[in-house]
Amino acid sequence: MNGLGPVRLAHSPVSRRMDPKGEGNAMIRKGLAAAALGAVLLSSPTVAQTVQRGEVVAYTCSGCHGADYQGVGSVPLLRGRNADELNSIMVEMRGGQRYSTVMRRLLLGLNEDDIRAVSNYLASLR
Amino acid sequence: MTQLTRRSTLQLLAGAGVSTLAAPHVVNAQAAQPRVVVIGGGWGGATAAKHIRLLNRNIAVTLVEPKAQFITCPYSNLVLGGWREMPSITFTYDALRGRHGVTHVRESATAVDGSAKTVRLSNGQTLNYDRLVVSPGIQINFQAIEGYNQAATTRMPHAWEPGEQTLLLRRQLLAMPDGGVFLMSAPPNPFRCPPGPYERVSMIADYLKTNKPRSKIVILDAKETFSKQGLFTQGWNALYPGLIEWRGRQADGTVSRADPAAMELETELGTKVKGDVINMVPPQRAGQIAIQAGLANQSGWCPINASTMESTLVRDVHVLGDATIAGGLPKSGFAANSMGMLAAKAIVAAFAGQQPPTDPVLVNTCYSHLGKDWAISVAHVVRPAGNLFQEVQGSGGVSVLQDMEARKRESVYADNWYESMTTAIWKT
Repeated sequence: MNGLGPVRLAHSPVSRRMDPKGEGNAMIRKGLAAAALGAVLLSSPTVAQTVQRGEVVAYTCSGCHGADYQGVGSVPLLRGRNADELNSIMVEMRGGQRYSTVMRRLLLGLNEDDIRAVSNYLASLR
Repeated sequence: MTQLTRRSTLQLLAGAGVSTLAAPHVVNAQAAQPRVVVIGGGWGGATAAKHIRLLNRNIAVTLVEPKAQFITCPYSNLVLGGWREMPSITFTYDALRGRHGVTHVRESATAVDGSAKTVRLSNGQTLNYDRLVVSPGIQINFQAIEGYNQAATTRMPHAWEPGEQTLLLRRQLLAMPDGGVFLMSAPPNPFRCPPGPYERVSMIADYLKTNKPRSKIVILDAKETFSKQGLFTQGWNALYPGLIEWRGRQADGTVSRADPAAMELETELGTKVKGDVINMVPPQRAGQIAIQAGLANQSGWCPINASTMESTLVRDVHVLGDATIAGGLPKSGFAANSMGMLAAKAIVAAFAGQQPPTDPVLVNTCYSHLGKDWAISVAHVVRPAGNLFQEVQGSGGVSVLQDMEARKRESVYADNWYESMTTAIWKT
């Protein structure tokens, strides 16, 4: 209806429009491998600490991405996604390598540690 | 009373060599729930009420809000433009009551006693609190512009508190003849929703362009510049060429007098401007209960400790939203929601004898619709810095002027944002 289509990044890491070459499929495979690694890493105290910090920062996402980070309309789902995938998307948006509208301006307010922390927290949600 | 935890009370009793059975009144006292009273069920207050209960179900939360339903100021401009109907921007407190166990008292708060920690209600009852949240929104300052009093709002609606005023202005717009002048007076800073007057004008222009194309819009503005000005000007030139005339402060735009009988506004320099429909957006200050409670300073707004949203003037009272002096956060529903979540965490931590969240980050994004498939945004990322929120250097700002693809995307994201946040606050 809105012409943009849903951007449900859990299933398709980047929308067609943003990813005309279909590079997202490679990202899904990479993401699955990273998910297994992430499960191991989550047991380490360092990741647990970043998850705690991530919870504080993640509230900033809930306004548009939904109270449970479930995604709303064209605004993508965040919860339960691969931590490395989320982190790299946000780092690329922040750096301007990946297109965004408001996200770049918001991410410029977070440092890399906070982006990693919020990625780990969102990945920890089931 | 509620400062003592169950464990510390038991330790105290054990140390005193008494059994808990021997002192039932003490046990009752320490088992009582901490009490939070929230005044105002808008973006800040409803958020705080819900999140306190989400974080700790043992805290009793009472919402003091006379209305059964809340109409949002965001998206009320879309009602004016005919894009939306009132029910789509109206929400109940059913979820807050039913799902989250918040007690909704449908009265107005008439007085706060910060020493006795009580709130007096319009029915004469008094509520006790351990922590108070005041999220009163704004009130129109009827002393600011000569001739603009409560009675004048029927001829010259402000429509800055949504509801009947919104519908009245809409009716006036529908009744305006083709070739008529829609005249708006825009206020000086600070005021609720900085881009709001200009989004409103865009919505009115969208209606006039289709339905009354010989009409004109004139904005008399007390400011030299306004929010997202470059983006609004670009959009107006593209979508509504020649329809909107903006006169800023330096172009004699500051309105000092209103004459509702003559349907006329007068500027500081004495220029008189007539309108067929006149929308007066007057200067504002914090909601009356905040003023009464001594939460506002001479500016008419409320200073806060930005780490906790606690008033710097009255202990154990947290102030949220448009009523606050917040520095880098504007007076927006989004910002009030961010503040509500922060205050909830700070209050729950305080009851547990813990520190508020370390180094919290708050954000705000304000979208404005200019026309079909055309919206723009401004974003803020802030951190508490003493009594203000300070913008993180290099962050935030407005939509990229040259990125026309973003206009359509942001019109979708704006609707998604509205759906997301109103669902989170009132529907779930």
